[in-house]
Amino acid sequence: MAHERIEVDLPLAKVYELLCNPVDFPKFLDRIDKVEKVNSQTFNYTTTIGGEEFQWTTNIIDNLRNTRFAWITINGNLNQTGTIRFTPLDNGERTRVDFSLDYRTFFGEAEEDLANFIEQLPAQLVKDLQKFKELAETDTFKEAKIEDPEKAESEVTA
Amino acid sequence: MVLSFKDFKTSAITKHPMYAVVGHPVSHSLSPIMHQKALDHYGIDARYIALDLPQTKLHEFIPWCNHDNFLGCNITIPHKEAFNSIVDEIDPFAGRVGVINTLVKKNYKLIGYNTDVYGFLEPLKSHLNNIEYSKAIIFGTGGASKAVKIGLESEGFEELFFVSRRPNQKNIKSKHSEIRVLDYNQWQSFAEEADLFVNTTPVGMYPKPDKTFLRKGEAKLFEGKVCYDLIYNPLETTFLKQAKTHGAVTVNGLDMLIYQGSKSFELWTGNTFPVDEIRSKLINQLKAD
Repeated sequence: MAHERIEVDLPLAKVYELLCNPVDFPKFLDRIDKVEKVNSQTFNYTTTIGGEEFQWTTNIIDNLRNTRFAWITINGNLNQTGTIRFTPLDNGERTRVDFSLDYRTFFGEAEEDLANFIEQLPAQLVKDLQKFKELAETDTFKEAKIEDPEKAESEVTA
Repeated sequence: MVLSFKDFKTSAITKHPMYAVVGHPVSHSLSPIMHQKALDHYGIDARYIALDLPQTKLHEFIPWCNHDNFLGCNITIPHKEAFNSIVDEIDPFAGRVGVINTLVKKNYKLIGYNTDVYGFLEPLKSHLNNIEYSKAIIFGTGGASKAVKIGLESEGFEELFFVSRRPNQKNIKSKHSEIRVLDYNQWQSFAEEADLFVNTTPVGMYPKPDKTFLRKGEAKLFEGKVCYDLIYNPLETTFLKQAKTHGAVTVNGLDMLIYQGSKSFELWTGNTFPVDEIRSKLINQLKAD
């Protein structure tokens, strides 16, 4: 489990709005390739670790406006859970974000590449949230593109 | 100290470890006096404030509970039921009561508890040995009556008679006792077989202490019974005065207030109230008012 806290120079409602849609997570969570919406509560995640593709489906289990947002994995080959808590600072003009993220296997020990992926999670989350802060504060979050890893790979190969 | 939500947001108090009672209106609340006394008694570096929060501001308030300095709160009218859908978790007992009056913060999570039932039962325990029939008559069917119902059922009361101004509109169900809802012209017929009478209505509360739901001559039905009024201001309501005159054992609402607070305090700090100190402080406060 990794837990990271950042402060964003934007009002609470704005920060919550940017972080309550998992489809946008790959804009700043560097190691998630794609998130697709199944319905308002359910999302399919995809990423590649050490050449192996991991896919999992999450359900939002808690979504209290401007306060917290949490999800669990209900299916797949990687078990991800996350909780985001929002705290107003300076009379609500700024916002503190507490982001908790966990990955584990459903069965047995993680193999080497996945074990490394999990071990690096705390350091990665620091970078990811810094990226979120920059995108949010420069008002470029909405336009930020989600890189297609397959396309990027084929460009490198070519 | 009573703060509006607007003042709370900009107050320096959020920079300091704090507890609160949250309600609307809340200026009458004695919780800040007793909790601050207990915090000071144990040398705990925290403040306890009253936060006046209208229902329209409730959802704006919840993110403020995520502050590290916010350690927990008591919840009072009109928010007791609204918090059920806001907390991260509800203690199973509070879930059964259906009403939360205490928020405890554990590892960022807000957990809802009910301490009203404990507070209601503690002052009653010494009188329960004299109960013969396991039947009680409860005046009122509002929020406070829920804690009374659960408390009496947990003590083995088999029949509960609720008295309501609109008995046809009240559907109180239970797996643990037989329930009947009566109107104010019917309860007298069941008084003889009841051992305990509980007032959960605000009738007789300050600033209208002369008010009572009793009619002339009805107080004699309380002879030899236990009469309990949840009201603590005044300490002796007209209901209790009349019951005492006719030979009833009476219990006022002050100890319920103290013991429910003590249980909340214990959930937060692991310590219980210095009850005697707090009781005398509250009595002095009520006399001064």
